[in-house]
Amino acid sequence: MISRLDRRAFLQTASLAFIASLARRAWADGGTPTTTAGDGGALSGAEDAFVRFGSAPQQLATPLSFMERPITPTRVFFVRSHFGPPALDPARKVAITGMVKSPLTLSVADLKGLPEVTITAVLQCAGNSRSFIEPRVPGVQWSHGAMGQATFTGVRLKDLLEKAGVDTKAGFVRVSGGDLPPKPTVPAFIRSIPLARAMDPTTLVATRMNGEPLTLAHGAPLRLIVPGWAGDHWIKWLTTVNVQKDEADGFYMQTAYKFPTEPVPPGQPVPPEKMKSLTTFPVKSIIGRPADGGRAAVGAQEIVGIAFSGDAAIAKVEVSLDDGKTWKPAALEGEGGVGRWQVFRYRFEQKAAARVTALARATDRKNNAQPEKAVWNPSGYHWNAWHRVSWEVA
Amino acid sequence: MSARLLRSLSSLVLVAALDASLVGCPKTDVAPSQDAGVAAVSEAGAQSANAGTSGIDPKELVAKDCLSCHTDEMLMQQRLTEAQWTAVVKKMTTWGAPLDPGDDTKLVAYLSANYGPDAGPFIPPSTPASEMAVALDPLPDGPYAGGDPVKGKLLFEEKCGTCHGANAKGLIGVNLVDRPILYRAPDFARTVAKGRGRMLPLQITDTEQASVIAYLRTLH
Repeated sequence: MISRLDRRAFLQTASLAFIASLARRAWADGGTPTTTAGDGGALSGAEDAFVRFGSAPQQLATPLSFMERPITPTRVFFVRSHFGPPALDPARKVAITGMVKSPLTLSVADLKGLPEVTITAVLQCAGNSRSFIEPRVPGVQWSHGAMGQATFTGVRLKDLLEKAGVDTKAGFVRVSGGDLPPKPTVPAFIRSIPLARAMDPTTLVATRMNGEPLTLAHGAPLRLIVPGWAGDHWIKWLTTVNVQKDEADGFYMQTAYKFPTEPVPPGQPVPPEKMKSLTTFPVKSIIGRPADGGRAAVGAQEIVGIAFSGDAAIAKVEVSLDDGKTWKPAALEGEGGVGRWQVFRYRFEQKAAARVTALARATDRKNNAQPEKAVWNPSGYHWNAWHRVSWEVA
Repeated sequence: MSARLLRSLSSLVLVAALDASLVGCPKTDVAPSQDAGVAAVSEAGAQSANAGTSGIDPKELVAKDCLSCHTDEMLMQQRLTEAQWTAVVKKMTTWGAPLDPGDDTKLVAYLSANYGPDAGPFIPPSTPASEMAVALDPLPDGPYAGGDPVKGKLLFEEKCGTCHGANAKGLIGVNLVDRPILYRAPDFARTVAKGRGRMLPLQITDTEQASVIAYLRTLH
């Protein structure tokens, strides 16, 4: 076990060069601020910390130390958007429009009376862990903190679409929010979701997150929830669900958020016909504790993390302490599900002082296994290689 | 459009802020460790990128042509080859970064020299979550309350519309419609008074500020 005091002492005394070389990204995601007031009942340290990749628009990662809890508190839940939020407008409405019999325009108040649904789901940026992709690619250089799990409460999109009456020739919903681009020359952020996924009973128009009304940073007043699918589909400040035959045109549907249809040579451009739109995120596990580059006392050690897959519930998480030669099963906690994370825990005894390196890998119930190396792709999406953490036992 | 013309135009221009949190220089609150590393790298890069050229400092170029839409962290965290930076700058120019002819190569040279694959680790700072949350919250209007949207429309057309667009949805300057900063009047007023990006400081009274804010709040 590594106490916070131990880690602080370590971080304070270690030289910058040492940290940079030893714990490059551990600092990024696991870093605990060393100067916080912490009294008067205020939150302190990691409880009130983001890892900042952008001030405006805000691009904020959840510290890795939270990746050992079933629910990520909203105050430290990662934040990412292309253009930053529009002004806070609790009366902002969503229009169900396009190929429907009776177009609807609905505010939060108008959703009352429809069946309310609460779902626990992972929200993960498609580019989470991008800084680990080699050769490097442009984009927010996230470590592993562009993800979190929360409960989302709202109504089923299916109920709204059925109320509006969808044309039988329709194939997609084009979804967008109130966040205008900074200039008209910047493409609008519009995504398309196949109608079948829009009609899935887990696809929600949410009004609440972790039991509270959505905050502006998380899409208030209305946000789309697409469990199992990457965050680019979870439209914030939702204003438009436009039912159409085809996918939307435009940069954010036809150029961005695409993944190669087959393995490609790293660093090489991929022709557009060999790219497909992102949908579900792949199986992944991340160790939240111990922190990479930390220290612990000789004796009982505990590895805790989270595991999830966009395609199925998690079947197992395994831990290796010998660089992948042998693997031992970790205990899984809580309820599993598609696009839902479970905490895993593995305990062992370290009798002698040593540098310990642990690897974690998850497998889902469709037998998708986390790979040793992630698939390189031009935009750096879906990194999900075995997570490696090492710490000093003394 | 020449840089000189733009600069003189920008003296007539209003706010370029996307968000209130941009108003304070973001470099002042990055972690000390990061500051030290980046400053050292930047200096070396700036010199090499500057060699043999005259005119504007590449860092000034970044401030004027990139940082109206996003903060500098977006550049500092990248580790890209010259070919990748060339593609990024091309994309951003297509998207409206107001680079003067020839400045693209200068910018690419600066970015490649400072934020190339071998630039060393980018260490993102830890930042209090509570500060990030309140950065988007509305503030009391204070001296900028009770503006006249009709007067504000005239003022906007006279002083702001040339760069922010007749509909305020952005042109050289950024979109000002439906932005959180319209409900953070003190931040808005400070940005107008201090200038930002290509916009030079603009001397207008509090009452005029209030009217422009009142007008912009009517737009959708």
